[in-house]
Amino acid sequence: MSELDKSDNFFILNLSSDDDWINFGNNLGFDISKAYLKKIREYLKPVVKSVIVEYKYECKDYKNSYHNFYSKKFTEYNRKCSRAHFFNVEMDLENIWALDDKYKDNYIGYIVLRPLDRFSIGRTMLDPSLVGVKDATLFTCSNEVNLLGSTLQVQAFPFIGQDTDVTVCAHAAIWMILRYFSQKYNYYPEIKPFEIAQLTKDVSLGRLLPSKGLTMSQISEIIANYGMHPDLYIKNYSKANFDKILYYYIESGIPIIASVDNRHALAVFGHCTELNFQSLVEYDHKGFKYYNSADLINGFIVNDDNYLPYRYLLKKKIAGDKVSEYSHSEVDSFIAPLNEKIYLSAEEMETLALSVISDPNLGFKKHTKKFKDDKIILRMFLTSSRKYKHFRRRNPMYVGLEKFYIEQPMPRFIWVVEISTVDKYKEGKVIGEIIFDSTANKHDMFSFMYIHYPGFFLVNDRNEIGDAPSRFKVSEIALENITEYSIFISNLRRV
Amino acid sequence: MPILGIEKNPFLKTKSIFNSSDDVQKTRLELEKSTEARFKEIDRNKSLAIDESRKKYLD
Repeated sequence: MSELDKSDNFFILNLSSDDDWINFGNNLGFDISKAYLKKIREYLKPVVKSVIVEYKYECKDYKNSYHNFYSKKFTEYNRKCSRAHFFNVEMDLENIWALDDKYKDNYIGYIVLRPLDRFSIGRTMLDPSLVGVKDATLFTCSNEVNLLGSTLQVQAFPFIGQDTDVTVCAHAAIWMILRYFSQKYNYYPEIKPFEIAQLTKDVSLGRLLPSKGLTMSQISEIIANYGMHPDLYIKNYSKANFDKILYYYIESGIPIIASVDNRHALAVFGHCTELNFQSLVEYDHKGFKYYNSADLINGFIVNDDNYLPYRYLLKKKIAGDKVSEYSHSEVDSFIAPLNEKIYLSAEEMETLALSVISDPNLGFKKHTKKFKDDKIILRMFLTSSRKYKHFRRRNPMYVGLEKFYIEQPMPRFIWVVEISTVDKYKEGKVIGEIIFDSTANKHDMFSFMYIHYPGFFLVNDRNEIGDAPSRFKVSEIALENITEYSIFISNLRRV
Repeated sequence: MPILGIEKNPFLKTKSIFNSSDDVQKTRLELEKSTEARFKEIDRNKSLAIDESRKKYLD
């Protein structure tokens, strides 16, 4: 029998037939639109085997909208939600009192269902590896859930649907990104939908509620008033490297709010894992020829609030499960929310890096002792110095070079330009890097802290502001001791 | 096993790439020259992007 139990507070059901899914839709605690039920069923039917519906759930995000908006409407709205928890195995009734013992590895996650006639999908946390997402390198955060006395964990990127009153697509995308930050890092405050809507004071386009939409300028304002620093890019004014800059931020673990088709907002938080080496393009910067790892990516991972989470925004549109109706080329602008300690933007770092690597006195061609004739590929990203030192300790370089990185003080965030050959990159190896101080001014030509080419290691004393040669400690390493080493793997998760 | 300090790593041989402050300054100026045009373009694009952002409406 599929229906296991029901009370005023819970409904527990194994989902093994279409009738079971109909039964699920009829027992949510209130009616939601058939279109949304169909959406949930089509998305989860391939993977879900059982569900526990938690009635009278006090959702902090919905309550925030309810108290500030819905409670003031003429129609009476329910104050409480339902929350549906999904598992990828059928349950036995006696085990529901020990969910964290019996089913913790089978917990897919949850969807909060709002008591709104339409747009019922509220806060949603679903593990991408358990809902059929493949070939994705993306960010997730951990969410702890209390259910029937058990504590369950889900690793997901937050998702929420717009409600078209308090929030539209832009608010939803902002919420997803800011909720990711507050779940992942405890120095970012948690913010709810109505609070997000209030963070813009620009009412020149009309009322903020009910919301008609947001401009990119208002989105920047919201990000800034939240306490982060928005960096705005419009494709028409950054054509040459718009896609690359977007990739650098994603590779850095910084989720992006992107506009597609000049009207719809997406949250971008990962990229396709499989690398397409056929798509590499050779660049030439003042005689230094190189490839860029940004060109290897087939597409990005996005949340589109018109659907359920995790969609592929591909360079070449194809039909397929979870493939976005938009292509990557339709991204016309984006905003990267940066931590306050990141002063050097991605395109400024890129400009400085290319200048250094092609410079007659500091450049790769002058100082490298190995791989001179190989095809060089560059990979650029931001990371915390703590993470980089930790990674390097576990993945050492040749002749103990990593110990200089580990020992030396660094700013909180660093830009890293990894240098490899195309062949070594395929093996997950690099041959050098240039590390930049993310708090540097773009006009500071010596904003690099380290330049490492095969057999050449330069340390720049960033506390020296003059031109004394002694600020640079330069060393060379014998050819026979030079080897490649592991590429930096960041906190992006592969599924 | 290399211990603290770059000078104590037996695999690293110290060398100089700049003989004087003039050499360092010359490199600095060359880097400035090679980045100038691009930084101007970045600043101009940023200004245009800010103007455009007031017109881009997402709903």
